Amino acid sequence: MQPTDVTREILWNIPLWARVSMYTLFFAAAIACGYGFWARWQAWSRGRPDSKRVDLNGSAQRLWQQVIVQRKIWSVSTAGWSHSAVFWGFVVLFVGTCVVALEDYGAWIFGVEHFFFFGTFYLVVSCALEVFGLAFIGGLALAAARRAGNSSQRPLARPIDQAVLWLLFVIAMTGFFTEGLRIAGVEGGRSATSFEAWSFVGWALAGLVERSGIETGVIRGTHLTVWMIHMVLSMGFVAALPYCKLRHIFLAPLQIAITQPRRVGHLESVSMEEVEETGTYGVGKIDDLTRRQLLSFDACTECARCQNVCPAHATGKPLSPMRVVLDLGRLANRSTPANGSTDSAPGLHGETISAEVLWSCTSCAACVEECPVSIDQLGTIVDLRRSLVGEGEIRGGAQAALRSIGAAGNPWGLPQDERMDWTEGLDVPTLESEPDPDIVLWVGCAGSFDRRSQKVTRALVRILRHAGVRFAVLGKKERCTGDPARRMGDEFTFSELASANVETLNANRVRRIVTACPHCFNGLKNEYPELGGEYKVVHHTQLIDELTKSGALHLKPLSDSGVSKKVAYHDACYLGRQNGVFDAPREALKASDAEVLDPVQSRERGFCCGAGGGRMWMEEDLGTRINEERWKQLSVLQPDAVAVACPFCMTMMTDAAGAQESEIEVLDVAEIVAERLA
Amino acid sequence: MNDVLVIVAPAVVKKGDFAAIGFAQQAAERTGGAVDVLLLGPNASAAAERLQGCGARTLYAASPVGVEDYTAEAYAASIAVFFDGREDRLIVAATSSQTREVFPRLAALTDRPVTSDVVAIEELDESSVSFTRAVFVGNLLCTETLEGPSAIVTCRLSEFEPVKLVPSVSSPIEAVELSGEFAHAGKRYVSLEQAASERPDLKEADIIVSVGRGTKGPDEGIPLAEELADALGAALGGTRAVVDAGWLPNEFQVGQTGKIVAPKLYIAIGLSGAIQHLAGMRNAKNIVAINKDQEAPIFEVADLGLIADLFQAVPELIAAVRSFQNAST
Repeated sequence: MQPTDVTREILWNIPLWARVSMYTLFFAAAIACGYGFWARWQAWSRGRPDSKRVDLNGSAQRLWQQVIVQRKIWSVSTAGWSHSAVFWGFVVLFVGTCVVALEDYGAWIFGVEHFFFFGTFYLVVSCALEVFGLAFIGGLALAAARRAGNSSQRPLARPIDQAVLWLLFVIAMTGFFTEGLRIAGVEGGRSATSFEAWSFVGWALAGLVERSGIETGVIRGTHLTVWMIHMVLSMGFVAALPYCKLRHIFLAPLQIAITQPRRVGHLESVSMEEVEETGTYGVGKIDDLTRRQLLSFDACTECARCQNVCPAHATGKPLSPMRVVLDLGRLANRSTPANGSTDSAPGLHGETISAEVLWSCTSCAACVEECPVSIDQLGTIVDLRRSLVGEGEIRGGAQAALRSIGAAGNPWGLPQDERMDWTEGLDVPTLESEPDPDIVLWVGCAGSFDRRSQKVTRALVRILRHAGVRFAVLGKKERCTGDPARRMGDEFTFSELASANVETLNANRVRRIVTACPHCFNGLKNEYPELGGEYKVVHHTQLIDELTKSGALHLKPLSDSGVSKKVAYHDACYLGRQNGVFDAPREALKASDAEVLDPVQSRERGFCCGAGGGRMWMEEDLGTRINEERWKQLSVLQPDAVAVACPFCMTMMTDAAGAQESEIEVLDVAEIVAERLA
Repeated sequence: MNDVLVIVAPAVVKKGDFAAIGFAQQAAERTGGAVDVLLLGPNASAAAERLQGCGARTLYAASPVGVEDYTAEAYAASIAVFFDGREDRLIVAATSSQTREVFPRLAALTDRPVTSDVVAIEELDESSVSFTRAVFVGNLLCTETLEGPSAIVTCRLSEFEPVKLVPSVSSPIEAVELSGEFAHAGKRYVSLEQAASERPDLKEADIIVSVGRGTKGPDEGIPLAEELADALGAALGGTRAVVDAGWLPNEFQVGQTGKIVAPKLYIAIGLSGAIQHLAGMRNAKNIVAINKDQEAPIFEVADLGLIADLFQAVPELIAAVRSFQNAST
């Protein structure tokens, strides 16, 4: 047998009329697909040009991680199996189809009988197509099972989602049957082409057909019919690509390639100059979004992961990050020139996205962390909030807090004169009395004014003294870092406060800062450099961890009582997920002889306390309370204490404990450590 | 062309309306025109009497059919009818929840520019007017120019001196008929539900009795607090926790996200004094706290603190108040 005998006839049993209809449909589908993506392109072009260049450094690595290896998708393991099988199955089947097309055109162009698809290559490709075809079908079945399962973690199971699975399933099955019928229907059947056993699925199907004793004529007729179904559905798939979530097949890799992973703790700034020049502040209408934002919305796969991890959504608020993304994407596409008049499109604020949706966000960034295609839901929500604030659409507690931050330099509107009241009896040095300290203690508004948080600050002072750290505070020169204002969308109050703080810090040549507030920590560390404030910033749990490990901080020997305290640790969003500090607080607790328990949602998946993004100062009158939901996750561990590392978490968890009449203590990590000072 | 029209709608004369007339007079000085006032609502004529002496050229009172009850659409439509034939340079009112709702509609109906929260007039001529406006909850000021011969504006009531009434100078009150179909086809006034309380309003009360979670609920400590409030003629307030637990209605909440109060005497019962609560009551002249936890932060702001079980202390306090009142009458 010659190697060229080990092959098959391309488009065997396909008459001319069927070939013509295939190419006709192919061009029609290609036009439909091309038009669809062109219309999307038009929609993106309405956005503002992005000042950031597309930085392709790292693109390859991101594509490897997020597309080839599907790293983010594997964070839900069934989804990892299912999507990876479908993805890889799809890729290999697509390559297989290309090989067949190349063989056909190659043979025609070079006028040879066989181009390259024969012999060992034929066998290997055929076998690979069987393996990946089966994987493809398996992945689809797993996806269908997930949609059928009665779990809140499953992706959407609307008719369109089911239809997509069925479409792919039928295409795959008709592919296998076309092959089986071909093997059984060629001259001599299986016995004449024993090498086709490499196509083991088609081979098995051909065996069934042969054993049933169906006439060759009927086999060939059936083959043509099944091939027609396979071909028409495949072309339908191509045509449908840009018009449903399948568009992510192209747009997700594109989005991942051009999107630098967001530094989660950092928000894009807006300068007063820009606003005066453009006359717009924030996103008030769809054209105010950037082109990249509009593109990113079209890359959404509707996997609902952002929605599943959203604390606002989990507690019955009207916010779903996915809905925001999809609604904005739909609005952008609905009102493009390609779709006719723009007048009929609904407005953005109020009609497409309601204010309640935007104010429900705690800015915890769980959605951003979770998104497999790197969409920045949080940045978008803040952009929209900015417009609301600019238009004066802000009421109640949020309005009062913003006014207080601007007027008094703290969100509670308390007199700046009382900022040092917490130091009573401690003789805490300021930069006047200690001009060159090892580290500056940034107390923060809560640590200064909130009676409960004052105790944490005092515990921290005891720890610093115990370890012999020379520290000083800014005292009455310290102002709110501006974090709540920025997250509520008031960029100007933020920049005013931040600039004033940077000026104070720089004038005193401050180099290193420690703070017990993750919101201050995040602002000082991630957002002040842009304003000329470059400092080494650590959270108090990091410093405590460092001091215990270096031996500067002596704690009572472990388990001298024989019983260690069980402590459930609640991750603060702005410390954990947004800045990657997960281990330092846990290490500090362990050093204090505590057994650390993690609630179901912890570390990267930490469930917000409900106070971020300015929510600390707003009423929570929709749905159930986020803090109580979190308290349930913590109290079910039956700990002796719940440890927090943030003054806002402290307030929210203490309130939740009170509301649920729980006896479990809520303590800051510093308080637990201070208890153990030797 | 130079006149300034003040809108008082609904025709219940409030503090803000005096500020709006003060603002209108400042504007009229620049335009050289006169100030007129339109009062709209069922009792417009009676309300107009309360503005006697404000220096207006005419007080118009209109009570058209369809505006018996407040809806923004009907109010905007009837004011628009009143405009017909008038050529006021400015149409003004003090910013309020109602003007936020009515004035944009009015602007759309009459094709005039509109702005809100004005704190000062910068420039004013026949074809344009510039204002300083408070934006970003008052943290920023911006200058805004409205083009056209007539504009609609609302002013921040805190920024303008309320007009002083001079009773000797009376203004003619003219009843005006406005005809048209003002009731909105798709929107109907049904009813107004207000929390009925015999006690004084939190914002206005001299004495407030405020309760926290320590009162243990509507069957235990809250009736005691109510009894004390009644004995003192005080208003009743509560913390967010109490309101969230459903022990008291929302409008009783004192604190950063509730009402900010400054009474002469604030009696805090069974509340620990979380910062959100303190931010709402720390300006009270005298603070008395009753709590069994001596660590409670409320004691740090209290002028007088009693570390005691409220279930024992409050009944004694009520008895003492009653016997004091009996003795003094």
